[in-house]
Amino acid sequence: MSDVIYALATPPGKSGVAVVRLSGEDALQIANDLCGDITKPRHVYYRSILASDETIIDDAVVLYFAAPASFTGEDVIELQIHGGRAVIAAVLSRISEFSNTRVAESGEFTRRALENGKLDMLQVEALGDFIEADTELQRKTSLLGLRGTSGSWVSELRDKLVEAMSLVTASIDFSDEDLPENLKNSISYAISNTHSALSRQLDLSQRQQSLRDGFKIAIVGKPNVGKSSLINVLAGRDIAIATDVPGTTRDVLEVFLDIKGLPILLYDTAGLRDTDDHVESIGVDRARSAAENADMRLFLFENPSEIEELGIIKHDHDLVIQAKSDVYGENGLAISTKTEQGIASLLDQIYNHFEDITRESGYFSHQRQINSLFTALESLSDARNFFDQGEASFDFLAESLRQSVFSLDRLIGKVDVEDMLDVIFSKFCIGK
Amino acid sequence: MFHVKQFDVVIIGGGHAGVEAATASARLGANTALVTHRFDRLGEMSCNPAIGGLGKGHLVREVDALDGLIGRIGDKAAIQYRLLNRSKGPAVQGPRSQIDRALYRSAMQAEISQTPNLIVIEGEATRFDLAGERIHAVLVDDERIEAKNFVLTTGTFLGGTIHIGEETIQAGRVGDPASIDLASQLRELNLPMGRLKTGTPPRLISKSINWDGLASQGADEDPVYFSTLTKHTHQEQISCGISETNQQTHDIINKNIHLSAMYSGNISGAGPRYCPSIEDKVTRFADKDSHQVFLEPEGLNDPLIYPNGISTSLPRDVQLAYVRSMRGLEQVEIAEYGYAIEYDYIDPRSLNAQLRLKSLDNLYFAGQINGTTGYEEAAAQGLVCGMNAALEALGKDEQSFSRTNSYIGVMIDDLITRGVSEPYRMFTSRAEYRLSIRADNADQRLSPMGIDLGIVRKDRKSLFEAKQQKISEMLQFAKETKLSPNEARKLGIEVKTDGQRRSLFDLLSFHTTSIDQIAPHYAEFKNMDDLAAQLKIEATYSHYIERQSKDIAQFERDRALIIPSNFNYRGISGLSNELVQKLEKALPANLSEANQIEGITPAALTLVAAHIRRAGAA
Repeated sequence: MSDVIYALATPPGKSGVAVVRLSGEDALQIANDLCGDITKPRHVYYRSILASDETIIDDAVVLYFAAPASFTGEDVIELQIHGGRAVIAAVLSRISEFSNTRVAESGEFTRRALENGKLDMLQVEALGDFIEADTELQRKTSLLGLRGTSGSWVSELRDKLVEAMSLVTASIDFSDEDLPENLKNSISYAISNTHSALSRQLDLSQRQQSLRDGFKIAIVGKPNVGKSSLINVLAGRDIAIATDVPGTTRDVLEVFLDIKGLPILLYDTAGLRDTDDHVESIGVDRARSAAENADMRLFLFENPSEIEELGIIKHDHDLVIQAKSDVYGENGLAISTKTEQGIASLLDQIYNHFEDITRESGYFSHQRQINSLFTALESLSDARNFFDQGEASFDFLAESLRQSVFSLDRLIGKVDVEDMLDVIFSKFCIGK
Repeated sequence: MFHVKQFDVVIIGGGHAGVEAATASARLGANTALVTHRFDRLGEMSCNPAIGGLGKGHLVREVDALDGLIGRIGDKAAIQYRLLNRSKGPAVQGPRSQIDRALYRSAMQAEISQTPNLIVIEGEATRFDLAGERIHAVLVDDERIEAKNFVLTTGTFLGGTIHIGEETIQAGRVGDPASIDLASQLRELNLPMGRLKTGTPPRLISKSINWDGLASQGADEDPVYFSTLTKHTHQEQISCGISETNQQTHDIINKNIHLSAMYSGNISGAGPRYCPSIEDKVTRFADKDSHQVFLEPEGLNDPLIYPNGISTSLPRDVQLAYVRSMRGLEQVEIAEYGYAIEYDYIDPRSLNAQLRLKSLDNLYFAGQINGTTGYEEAAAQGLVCGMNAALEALGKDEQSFSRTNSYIGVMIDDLITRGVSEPYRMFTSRAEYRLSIRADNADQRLSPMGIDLGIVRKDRKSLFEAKQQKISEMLQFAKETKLSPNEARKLGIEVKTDGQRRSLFDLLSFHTTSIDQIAPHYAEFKNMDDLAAQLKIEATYSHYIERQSKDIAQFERDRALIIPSNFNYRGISGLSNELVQKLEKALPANLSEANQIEGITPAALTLVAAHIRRAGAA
C-alpha cells in the first residue's frame, strides 16, 4: 500500500490562506480523523482541525477529491488553513503523527499524477513551465503543452511514421506475396509528409525555446555611443554604469525585459574598438560573441559609417539606430536617451518583429524536447535518402524509420526513463 | 507393476520442437528420453513442405549455430533453394527451401537413431506423477519414466478440434489420437490458456494437374544453404507451379461461405492475420479479384502437391469445386481435404526465459503449445528447452537468449512478456537490432556460447574456429590497409580527393563499393568468397551497428537489473494498485521484461528500479 504524502502547496511564509495537500489511499481516513466526517467528493466543508488531544488547531476549508478524478489520480484532501507560520507548522506536525503519512518528496505529487496516467511526460514539463511563466506568451504556450495539445501532435506524427514503417516492413517481410503496387508511393508520401511536418515544427519550436528563455537582443556600437544609457532607459532603472568615459563597460551585461508580454534578454556590450587594455579586449571579444549569438542586434551609431567598421554581420531584421538624436537630429530610427524621444517607437519595432515570428506557436521549448525532434528529423532525412536509393537500401530505410520513431518515443517519455525523470523532477519544488 | 526407467531429461512429443529438444539435451551429455507415439513419424512436416523464409531462416541459422538439426536435415532434403529478399539488403534476407517430406523424415530418423545419450520411447504419455511443485515421473503405457526435468512439446493436443465444413473431429492432427488424460491433468494445473486456430489447404494429386498451362518459379542458381556445415546441394532442384484464384473461385467461396467452419460460428479461436484462409482472403479483401497460389511439390517422388495460399475449412465438395475453378487445376483430384484446427495453448507469459513453467519446478514447454506456429519457431524453442532442461539436470547454469543477440531471444522475450493473440510467427521486423543479428553471422553470434556449453560438437567447433581465425585476419587486414584517394580511384571506387587515406573496410562501407572491386587485388582475399562477402556486409552496416550498440547497451543495462522473485511491489510507495497487480501477475525477471508489460509507465519503472538498487545496496 502506498503512503499518504503531504506538503504545503502554497509558498512558505505568512499569508492569508495556506493550502496543505494530502494524497494517497488513506487520505480520506486521515481527513476524517483530523476534522470529522468528510464523505462527499468535490464538496466544500468548513471544519475545525483537531489536535490529538481534541483541542482546536485551526478552522479550515476542506475539499475532498476522490480517486481517480483528482490531480494525482489518488484520493486527495486539500486543507485551506490560515497562513500563519505557527498555524502551518502545527497542522503539518499534526499530520505527521499518523504512521502512514510522510512529507512528499520533491515533485512527488506530479510524479504520482504521471504514474497514474493523469499527465504525460510533455504535460509534466509544461506544468513546470506554466508555473514558471513570467510573461503572457509563456503562459499561453505552456498551456498548450499542459492541455496535451503537443502530446497529441507527437502521437499523430508517430502514428504516421509507424504506418510508413509498417509499409516498408510489409515489403520486406512479405516480399514473396503479391503486395499492392502503390506501396512505394504510399511510403514516399508518408516520409515526405512527416518530414516536412517535423522540420516545420522544429523550426517553430526553436523559436519557442527563445520564447521560454527570452529573445536575446544585443546592443552593439562604438565606445561611448550610449549603449549603457539605452539599456538603463529601457530597463527603467540604473543597471549599467553609464559615463562619458569611452570603454566603461567591460563585461556583457544581461537585463530581462517584458515588452508587452514578450520575454526579452537585453545585452549591453563593451564598445567595439581595438584596444591595448587587456581587460577591455576580453570584453570586446565577449561583445562580439554575444552579438553573434543574439536573435537580434541593435546597431547604435553616431555616424552611419561606424556600422561597417564594427565588423559584425548585420541581419535583415536587425535594427540600425541613430543615437543622441537630440544632438545629431532624426535620421530614420533615432533615439535620445536624454529626452527619451524615439524609445517607444524602438520598443514597437522590437515587439513587432518578435510578435510576428511567434504568432504561430511551436509546441516544444525544452532542450530535451528539441534534441529529440532534431534526431527524429535527422533519421527521417536518412530515411528519405535510403528510399531514393531503392529497394537495395530498404533494410536501412526500415532502420532509419525505427530510429525516428524511437526519438519520438523518447520525446513523449517512453524510453530512457531514468535520466529523463531525474532531470525533470529535479526542477520541481515540493508540493506542486 | 510398472517398469521404472530413469533419465535426466524426458521430452514428450516428437514434433519439430521435440526432436530439437531431445538432441540438444543429449548433445550436452544428459541422459535423455524422447516419448512419442510412433518413431516413424519423427520429422513429419505436417503443414507446408518448406523450411525457412524471412525471420524463420534466421531462426534456422541460429539453431544450426548451436549444432541443432533443422538446418542440416533441411539441407539433406532441400529441393528448391530460394534466398528471399535477395534485392533488399543482407540483413533482411532469409534462406528458404522446399523440402522433400519423405527425405526429411528419413534423415531426421537416422539422425535421432545415431544420437548418443538419447533413446526414443514409443507410446502414449498418459499422466504425470506430480507432487507439490515437482513432476517426478511420467507414465507411458505401463512404464514409469522418472526424470529430473520434463519438456512438453505436444503441439495442438490440448483440446484439438478439426473442422471440415460442419464436421468436427477431436484430434491433434489428421490420424493422431489426442492425448486426453495428460491434457486433463494439465488443465487441473489451472494455467492461463487461450484458444487459437490454424488451417491447411487440400493436398492435390500432382499428375492430375495440367502443368503446361502454368507459370513456374525455379530454384536459385547459386543456392544459399541453411547449415554452415553444408557444402553442396544434396538433392535435385525442382520448380513450383503458380496458379491463381479468379472471379469464379471467389463466387464459389462466397456462395458457400456459411458452410465454412470459420464463418459458421463453430470456431472461437483467434486465427493468424498474416496467413489468412482463402475464405478470409475473399471476404476481407473483396476488391482483389485474384490471389496467387503456389503449387509446391511435397517431394521429388511424392505424388502430392501443397497448394500454398488456399487453406480452408469449407466442406469437401466446395473445396473440390473451387480448386477446379483455377487455371491448370480443372481436372485436379484432391488426396486429402483441407481443414481448420482449433486448439488450446498455454499462455507463454506463465513461462520464464528458459521456457520453464514459473509455477512448477521442472516442466518446460516448447512449440505450438506456447501459441507459436511454424517448424522453425518450434525447433528454436525446442533447442532452448532441451538445452536448459539438460543444463539444470546436470547442475550447470541455465542460459538465456537476448533480443540483442538473436531472433531466438526476440521470440522468447515476445512470448514470455507479451503473450500471443494469434499464432506467433517470426518476422524480421520483430527484431529491433536486425542490422546486427543477421542470418549470415548467426554462427559468430551464437556458436561461441554453444562451444563453451559443450552443445556444439567437435567437427563444427573446429570448422567454426578456423573460420573465425580467417575472418579476424581478413578484418584486421581490411582495417589496416589504407588507400589514398588516387589508389582507390584506380580500383574504380569514387572518393573525394581530400588526401585522406581510407582503409579497405571504410571503402567497403560505402553503399556503392562492391567486394569485387577490392578482393581480386589482394592475396588476403583469395579463396575467401563467402567470408569476403560477409566482410562487405559487416562494413556496410558498420555505422548503423555502432549507433545501435548504444541502444543495445541501454537495453542490456535494463536486462541486467534483476528483479528478485520475491520482490515486494506493495512495499513501493507511490506505485498504484493497478500496476502492482500487473507486476505481481507477470513477475518479470528483470527491468527490461517489466518495461514490456502493457500499461507500465516510465515513472513506475523508475520506482521499481530505484527500489531494487536500494535493496541491493542495503
